[in-house]
Amino acid sequence: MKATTIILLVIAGCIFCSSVFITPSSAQRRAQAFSHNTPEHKTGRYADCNVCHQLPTSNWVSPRRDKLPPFPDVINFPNPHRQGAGNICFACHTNAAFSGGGVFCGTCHTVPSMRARAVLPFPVQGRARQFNTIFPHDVHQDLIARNERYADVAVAHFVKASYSPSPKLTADDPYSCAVCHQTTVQIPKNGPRKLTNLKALSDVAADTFERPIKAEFFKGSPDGHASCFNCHYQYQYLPKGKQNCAGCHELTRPYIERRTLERYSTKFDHSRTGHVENDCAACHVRITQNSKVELMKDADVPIAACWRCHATQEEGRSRRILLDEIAARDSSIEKKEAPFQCTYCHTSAIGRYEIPASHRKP
Amino acid sequence: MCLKAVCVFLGFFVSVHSVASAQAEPAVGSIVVRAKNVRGSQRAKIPLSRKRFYLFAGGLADNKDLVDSIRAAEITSRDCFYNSLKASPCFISWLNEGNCESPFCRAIKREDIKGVKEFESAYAKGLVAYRNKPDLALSWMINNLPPDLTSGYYRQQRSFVEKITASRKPLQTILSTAAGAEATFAGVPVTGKSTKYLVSNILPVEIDKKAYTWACEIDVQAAKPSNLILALPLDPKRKNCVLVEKELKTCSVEACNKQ
Repeated sequence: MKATTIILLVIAGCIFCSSVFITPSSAQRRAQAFSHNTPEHKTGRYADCNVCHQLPTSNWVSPRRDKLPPFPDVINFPNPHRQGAGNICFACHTNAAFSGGGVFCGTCHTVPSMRARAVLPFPVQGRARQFNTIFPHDVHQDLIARNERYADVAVAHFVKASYSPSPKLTADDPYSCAVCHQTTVQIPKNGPRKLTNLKALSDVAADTFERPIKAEFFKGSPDGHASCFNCHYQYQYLPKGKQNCAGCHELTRPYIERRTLERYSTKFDHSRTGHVENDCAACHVRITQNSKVELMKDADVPIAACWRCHATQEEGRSRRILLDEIAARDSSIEKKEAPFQCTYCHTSAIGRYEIPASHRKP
Repeated sequence: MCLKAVCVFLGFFVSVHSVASAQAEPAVGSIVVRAKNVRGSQRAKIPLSRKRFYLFAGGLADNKDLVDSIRAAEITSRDCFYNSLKASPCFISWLNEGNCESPFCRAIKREDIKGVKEFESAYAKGLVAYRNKPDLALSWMINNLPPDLTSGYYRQQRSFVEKITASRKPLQTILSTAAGAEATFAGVPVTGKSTKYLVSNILPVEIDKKAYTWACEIDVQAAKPSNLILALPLDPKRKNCVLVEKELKTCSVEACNKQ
């Protein structure tokens, strides 16, 4: 028994040692993501992304993973084996491919071996992202979302008179926010945003929905080059000195992209009458001056935008819902009852918290 | 005795902390900018739609230099700008049709290409670059137009704003809505009973043959939206608002003879 334990420990030790000390090269121990953060990978001649990456890659005409019609794009790993590659990997990692059983090859290839042929789909899903996307909303708002519209009637025709102030916008207007943010087809994974400065007054209760959550509640964001290359193919119109990949991609600490859309007001329906005919900028007032999304720490829609229609003294539940729910909360606390949860816009995960001062005085 | 002292200290600490946290959230108000009678001869056109407004600290007197710079600034009209670039009459006419300031403004359709030499040449370039894919050559046409024609006017406007605001930086900027031509500045800090701010469009708005720039002062109160009406013409009795009106230099644009 004792001998068996010793043998097992020795075998375990050997396996551990062999995995750690395959070769002296760190790259050879890694069959995972290539790191753009390694100093040698971002300085000298490698500071220029084009040394490794081609735009477009030679396989751009192939059918795409996202089922979009093919367009010139970067959809493959840099190829260090092609003629004229100038030893882009093997200038430093000469021995890496010939030792350690070809672990190094697993960075790009499906099988980490010297005989590897097939490459992993690029970019590899599930691997940590190494770049943030730079998208100045303010500049784009000025340019692409800045068109004046005319009433859709011909001059000198008799038309029905009305007091409608202006032509209505449609969600599929080509040059509006919908260029990038389209209504989702399926309900995306979603959840409540974290509230840090407020105190929860009660436990989470079961949610009820007057209007069940549907895909139309949400808007998506671009996840690829398709919507950018319309204007920025081959780095067109990027700022001077940034006419390369770095014009849009900013190197950052590796992070796993969260796929969950976090909302304060999960019950907000973009497609509802009263919301859908409004210009996005009527409520999303902060985004039109935002040059970097990461700098926006709070909700893009200030409560003042909701107040204009939902905190009036007019008839109708929705017209005064904000005032009613605040009054109901205050009343429940005054009567020392279980705190009223705000449920018109919020799920219980948010509606059970203290009412922020901004909601009372926007 | 000791316990009593601890309780007093704790009570004091809690009250100081609650006062501090109450002060942590400063009073804010909001400004809603609306237009009144800001219309040209084309009644369907909304001149103040999708226009950027700038918010400055202080009233008119505090921003005298800014208003003087607006008054003194030289303006180049859209037509004159594209004329100076020797853009074809049909290109300028295409921009005017949609009241566009640049080709980014609306989608270029297949039927728009013929007769507009800039589009024809960009489309041909796209066909070569994108392996003879007509849809790509059309939808990516902006990439193949001369940069001065696409983003030149925007760059010129931007440098105009930077020049005017060089000595006085705006606190916020906001784009008005397309349909209602309304702009809301939210989270505007208020100290005391009310605080003075100045709102201006800086970039003159072209209406018919004139250019208009408003610079209006407004008192913002906490927890209350303050309405700012930009009127045309401006009521002469209104003391808190300046309207700078300039004649636009006319640049003759040849007619587009599109077959």
